[in-house]
Amino acid sequence: MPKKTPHFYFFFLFMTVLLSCAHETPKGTAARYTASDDCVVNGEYHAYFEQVEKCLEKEHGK
Amino acid sequence: MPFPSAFSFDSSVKGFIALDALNFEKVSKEKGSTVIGIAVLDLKIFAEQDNMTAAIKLDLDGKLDKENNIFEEAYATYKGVPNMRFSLGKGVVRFQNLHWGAIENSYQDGGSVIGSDNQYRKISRKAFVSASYGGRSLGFINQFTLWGDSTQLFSDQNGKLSFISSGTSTQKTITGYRTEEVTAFDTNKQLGLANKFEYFVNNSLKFSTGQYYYRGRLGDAKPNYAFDIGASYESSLLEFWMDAIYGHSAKLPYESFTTKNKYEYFLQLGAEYFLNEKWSVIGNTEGLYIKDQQHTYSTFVEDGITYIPTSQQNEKSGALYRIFTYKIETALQYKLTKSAQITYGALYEKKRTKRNGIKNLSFVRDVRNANAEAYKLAASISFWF
Repeated sequence: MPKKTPHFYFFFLFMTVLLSCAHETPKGTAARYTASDDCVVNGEYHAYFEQVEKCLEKEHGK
Repeated sequence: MPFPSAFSFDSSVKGFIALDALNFEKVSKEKGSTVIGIAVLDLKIFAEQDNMTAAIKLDLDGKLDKENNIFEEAYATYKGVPNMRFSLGKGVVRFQNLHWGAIENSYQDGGSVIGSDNQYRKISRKAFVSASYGGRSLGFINQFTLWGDSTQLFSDQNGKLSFISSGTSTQKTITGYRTEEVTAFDTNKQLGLANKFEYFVNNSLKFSTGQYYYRGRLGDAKPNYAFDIGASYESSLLEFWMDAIYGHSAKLPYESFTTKNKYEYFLQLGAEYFLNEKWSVIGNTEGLYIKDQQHTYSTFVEDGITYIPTSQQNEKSGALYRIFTYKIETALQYKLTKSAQITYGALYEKKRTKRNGIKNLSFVRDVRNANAEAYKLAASISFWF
């Protein structure tokens, strides 16, 4: 792999973040993350069980 | 007359499964290989009654050869005081801002094709007691944990460590220390402390900072410590994550993965941009720099027995390793349903090792793939319930 490739990668990653922030619209929580009406989780492995635990607490508290 | 009582009991089983549908991995000159199988398979059982909860997490994709190793977590929590919770049991000690990369797990959870050499990874399967205060409504959560390892060095009644050795009755070589599995740790033998503070700026942005301290109290053990800072941003269009760690670790000369003084610096930056309701694009990069001073091994006499270093110990005796590893990943993710996704992506990883300032060595003792590159192409399916 050419030596400059990582630099280009960082450049594109940075530009993507920058462009994304500039074009962001306030839509609220993404519906695509909703596992059920009461429980909002995403498909990220390390956060999943923590989010589920909070969901269960909310549901139990009702 | 029976005592009046009312119970509110609830339980549920939740799981996260990631399957490597078709992965291709190649490390430097080795022949590339296709990998198909289970990447992650975790189940967690929650039970809740009044102000008490209990949770048991089964790590079914882990190495299960040790007794009870299937239980990554098993703890009980009391939530009777507003905004406070007290937990006791076995589980994960929190101080990092862990996040999966694009197609591979973080270096902090063993995610490497080439093999990473970092000491500071997700700290799980530890005996712990923790107290936390706060909540999203207060804008912060602070969790303090007192913990210990489930494997302790074995010592006799005089506090002396016991070697695992081979040889004759007068001349031996040492390959390790005798250890013992414990269900509750002894603070006279070891002590671990950790703290994680999370600050919620708003519903989208979160900062975190963590501190870690551990010291074995047998032999001439030195303290291990680490500092972490992290940030996460999440909106309908973009998710961003960052984590940085500075850590120092030290072990006794004959412990597994031993080091006299190891300093490590870790940085992870990643982002997911949602193209629409179904598709998103992910970029993740991680860098790891390690400065590892090895112990010096020499012949010594104790209790009339002469202990001689092994050839492997002589080979790395007093050496200074400097290891730089990085990986860059990118992926396209497609949401199959609200609780399943398929990920296509590619990874490039490189490791460079210097031993006492000498570069490009083809082999460095105890450093896997010391000077190598790796590639990975992945198609994986994740499902959670």
